[in-house]
Amino acid sequence: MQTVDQPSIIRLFRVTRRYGAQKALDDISLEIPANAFVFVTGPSGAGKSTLLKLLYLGLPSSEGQVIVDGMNLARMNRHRVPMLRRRIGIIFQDYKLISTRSVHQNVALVLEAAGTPHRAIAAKVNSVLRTVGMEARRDALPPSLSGGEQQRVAVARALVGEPRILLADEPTGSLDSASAAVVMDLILRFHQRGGTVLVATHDHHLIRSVPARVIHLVGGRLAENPETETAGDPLPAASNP
Amino acid sequence: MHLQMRKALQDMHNNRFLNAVTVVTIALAVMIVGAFSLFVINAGDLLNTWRQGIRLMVYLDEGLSQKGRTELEGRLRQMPEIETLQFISKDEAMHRLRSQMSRHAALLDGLAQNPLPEAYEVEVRQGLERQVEPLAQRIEQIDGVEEIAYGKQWIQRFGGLVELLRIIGYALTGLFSAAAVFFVANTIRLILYSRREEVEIMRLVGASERFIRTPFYIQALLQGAIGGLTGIGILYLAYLFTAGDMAATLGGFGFSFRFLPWTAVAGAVICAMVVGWLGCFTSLRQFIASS
Repeated sequence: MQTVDQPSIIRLFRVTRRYGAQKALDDISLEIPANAFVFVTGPSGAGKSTLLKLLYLGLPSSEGQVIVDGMNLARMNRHRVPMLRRRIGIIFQDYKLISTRSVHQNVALVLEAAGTPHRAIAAKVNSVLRTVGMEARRDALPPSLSGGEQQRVAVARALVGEPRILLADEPTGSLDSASAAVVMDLILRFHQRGGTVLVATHDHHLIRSVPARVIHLVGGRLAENPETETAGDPLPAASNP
Repeated sequence: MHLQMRKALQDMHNNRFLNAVTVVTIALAVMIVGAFSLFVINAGDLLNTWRQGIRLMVYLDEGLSQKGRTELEGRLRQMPEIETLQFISKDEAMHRLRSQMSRHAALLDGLAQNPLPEAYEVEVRQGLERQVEPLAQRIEQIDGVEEIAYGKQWIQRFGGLVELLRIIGYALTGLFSAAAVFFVANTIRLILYSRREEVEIMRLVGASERFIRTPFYIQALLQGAIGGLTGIGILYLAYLFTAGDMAATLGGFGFSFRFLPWTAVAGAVICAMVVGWLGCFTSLRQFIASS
């Protein structure tokens, strides 16, 4: 599924990230072309989540350069961080939905923050909720939803702003296999429409389910044989929501 | 802005108790400071009324001749501070005293002779009321003047009291403003900490700091406006209840008890809103620094 000779949308050059004296990422350099589907994998503590956080400036790098969609994050003024994040959709393992806001309001928040006109927000949110199969639950509060439903709302929130890049940190980590298949299907559809996807996971079933490039991290460094390709063997029970 | 206003109102509704405490604090602060201002303004008016009506009684020497009195009157008429000048003969003075004593006037019947001195009643020109003291000193130097009487000490004491109350008013304004800022800051801080995760999520999905902060500022400004208007409203009701009695008591001095001018009312509400804004600014700055 990867397009060849695409310009890089993500570049890391000798990136290190420290937590105190400990290096969570050590001297990482890599390039990810636009429209790529990439898994970042490795054991717990390998630096997968840290790598993703560097890309949306959830954390700054300690050393090196991180360039995302043409923006050099090391030199980025903090006032421009929201602009970066509006170009990136993020999916978290723990969903990170606002529990006091309805499904519709959670998804609409992205567009409200971007200053989208009120009428356009309603239309877009309804459309994306239909896509993820959550239109009927639009007024529900997140705590009343199952884990799979919450993650579908999180996917809807990540996609509604039409980002160029989708970052997913263990997106199926808390889900049963059926819900995981639905979520991966939604992520794949985003990729098929031209989006760049980075999924951090240690779930080998998930990695084998999609034809993708795989980056291996071990102890914060790229593994000796850092990259492989998977052929794509869809997860069971994947069906359109 | 519509969205931000809705969010601010929603927050106020969700945190009704905290907001009510803050609004009541601001209202109390405005009310107390307003009451002081009301008193100081009216006391100042009263003082001015008394100053405007100030009259000097220039008592003449017992043995002053007609010629001496004419010369004295001539000199008094040349003084620019004097608006009107009226001669009070011994008989006129006695007549006035009898009128003032009314029922007790019979006590004066037993007097063998009229002990009251002749005098001039001097009215000071408007706008020159503060020149009364130097004027009195100059008149006292003229030959034939026995003594001068006017409500000098009383006016000075009252003026001093008004000035003292004005200073206390400034101190109270500072004290209550600081208390109100503290309350608003704590309300916003508690709301912020209860919504810490929400704020973090908003940041993750690309919300700017301005987008996140605006509802809090709107909320604080609304708290200030509602508190300010409530405080002024209660003060106005208290004024309506007492104005009648005050008018009856002080009306005889040609003085009318008035409420704060609209500029002061607007100023009080704006100050209350500024207090709200400051409280919000303080807590947001701390919150941003800690997150």
